[in-house]
Amino acid sequence: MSMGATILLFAALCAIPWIGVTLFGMHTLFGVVIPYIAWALFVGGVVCRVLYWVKAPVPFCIPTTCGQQRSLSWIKPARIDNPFTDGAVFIRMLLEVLCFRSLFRNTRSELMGGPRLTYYMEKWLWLAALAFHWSFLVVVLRHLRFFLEPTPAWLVILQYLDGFFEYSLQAVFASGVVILLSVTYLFLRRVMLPDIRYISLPADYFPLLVIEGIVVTGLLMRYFIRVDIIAVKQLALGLATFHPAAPTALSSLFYIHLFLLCVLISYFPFSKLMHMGGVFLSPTRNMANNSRAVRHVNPWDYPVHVHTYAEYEDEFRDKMKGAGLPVDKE
Amino acid sequence: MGRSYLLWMGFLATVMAVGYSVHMLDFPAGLSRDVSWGLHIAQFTFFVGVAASALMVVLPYYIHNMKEFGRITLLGEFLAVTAVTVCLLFIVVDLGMPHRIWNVVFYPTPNSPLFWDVVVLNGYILINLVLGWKMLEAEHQGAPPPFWTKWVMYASLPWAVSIHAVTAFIYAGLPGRDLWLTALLAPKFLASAFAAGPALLILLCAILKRTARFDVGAAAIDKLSVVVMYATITVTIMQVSEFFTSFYAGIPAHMHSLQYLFFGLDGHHALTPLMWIYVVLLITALAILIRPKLRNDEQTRLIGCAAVFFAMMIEKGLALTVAGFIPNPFGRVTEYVPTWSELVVMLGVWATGAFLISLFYRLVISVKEG
Repeated sequence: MSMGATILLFAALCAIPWIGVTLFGMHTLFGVVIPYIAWALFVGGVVCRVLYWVKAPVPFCIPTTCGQQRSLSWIKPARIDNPFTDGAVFIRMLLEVLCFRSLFRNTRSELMGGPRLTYYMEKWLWLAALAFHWSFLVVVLRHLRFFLEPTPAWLVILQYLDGFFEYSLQAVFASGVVILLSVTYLFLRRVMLPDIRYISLPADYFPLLVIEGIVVTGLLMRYFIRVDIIAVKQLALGLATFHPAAPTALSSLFYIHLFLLCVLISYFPFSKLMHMGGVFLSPTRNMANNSRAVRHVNPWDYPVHVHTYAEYEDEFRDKMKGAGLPVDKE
Repeated sequence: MGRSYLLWMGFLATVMAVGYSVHMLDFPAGLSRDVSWGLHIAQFTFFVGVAASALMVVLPYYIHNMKEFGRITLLGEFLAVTAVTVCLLFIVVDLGMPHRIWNVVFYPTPNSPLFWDVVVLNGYILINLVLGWKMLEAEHQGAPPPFWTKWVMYASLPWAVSIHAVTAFIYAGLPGRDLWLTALLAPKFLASAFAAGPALLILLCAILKRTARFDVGAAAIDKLSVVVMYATITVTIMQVSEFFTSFYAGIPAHMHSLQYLFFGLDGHHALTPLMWIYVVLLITALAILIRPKLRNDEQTRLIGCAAVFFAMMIEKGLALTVAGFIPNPFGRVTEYVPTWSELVVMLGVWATGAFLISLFYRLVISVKEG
């Protein structure tokens, strides 16, 4: 599927709820049925994927490391980059998930005159990715206020901090601006840079396009083409308490926003978006690099019966003594 | 580095947190109807000077090809980035409604020097960050920096002058504030900047030599202390000229603020002790820096540089801004003394600057030595 086809697909995904709601008045379908199906697909799919991964055997101790392993007392180990204990693995994982340290190490190689290969620090991808994920988290948390009544205090504080800056006398959420800029950068990076585009598949930029669509429709509703916010909360609370009722007062813009979200979360378990769960389950990151100290047993190993020396000696002790051979146990 | 570095950063983070909390709790400041700019705006003005002084290392190294400055130029550039950050923070803590700060961008007022100060300061931080980063990267790669960095460097030269000139124009364009209403203000700002900034850089280099065993080289420090000397002499000449014009011509409005600062006016003399400390520091600095023997001695040079730095900080980092409002347009004296909360917030901002500079210098040293 080419870039053009992906964009056409995205346009179709926007058109479906618009036509459905404005022409056929299918509020219940797009407001209740599809969200429930999408949620079921999301939860079921993620659970299946995670269980599948959990059950996968880990034949070898294969953590990827970036530092000196703990060995002799006078060699300084990299405690976090080459984790030796489970605590260090936890800290390393935490830093990876919160700060994307492995992406921070990203370099770009360039052939200088000479010829000479140099590696440049490439921080833009890291910066955009970090900005995108954090702002996405804040946006998702802020949306919880549609599902919670009364709104919890921490959510009010978060919203206050996020909406600290005012423009034309209304709070502008920083997370909204940041996610728009960062997801746009990430999408354009995929489609504009020739070398990145060459290695990109729809699986790489289709989710970005869908998220972009969700962000743009969300921002439009927040700042420009207002929607009936009470009706939105009624719908959300109805969905959350399993007493759904689709209000008819909502504009098609809202349904495009919701439908794209449904597309995203139902696509989620079948796509690389599963890196959300996968990062915790990848053996290169969740294992301690202690293979010199702790034996890692390969679950695939055929249960070979081993005849140890102690057993051998037990069996032949008398004959060994008779032949004058030294034995460990008398 | 290691443990002591982490302790130092932890200490700074604590001071930052305390400063931030005190700022958020909004304790009363010493400002009033008559004195509406206080410690924070004065400190802002002072650190714009520190930022502009990067010119004094960039110019010799890139334009005059003085190789001695090879190890110090990057330090100067990152000092500029830090100093501008400190400036902007001082502005933010002084704002009554920081949540409307974007209105400066969305409703620009090109007829106001304040707007242009926002433009040049943010531009300068960008220029120095890009330039410093690219130079550091080039050093790290052992490859020449990209060709366009040359043009960024050329832009940084007049830009450095512009940040302090525009900051001076904020003051010097106000009829009715006679202490500031002088064409000498922008040149004097630049002169005191080129004294205080390099003096701070020399002090920082001495600290780096002691804590990180990173030596920028005696030749660079010697050359830079000559710059500090001439700039300090220039500031002194300008200070004397101000006194001459005001008092020989006997213009009352011009005399009052100076009288208030150095001798007290109508029984008010909150700043007088500080101003005499300023005079003593200035004389000490000149006495040390003018004599080559003392200037080139490591210990006395540091004393001289510290004297210059604190003298300029007293004059530009507090007195000049405050005294411009004294006496008020009705000829009355309303004094200003910074409150404890203003001082704590200032310490918090300084700690932020120290935090940033420690981060940057650690980066620079690891590249230079690695």
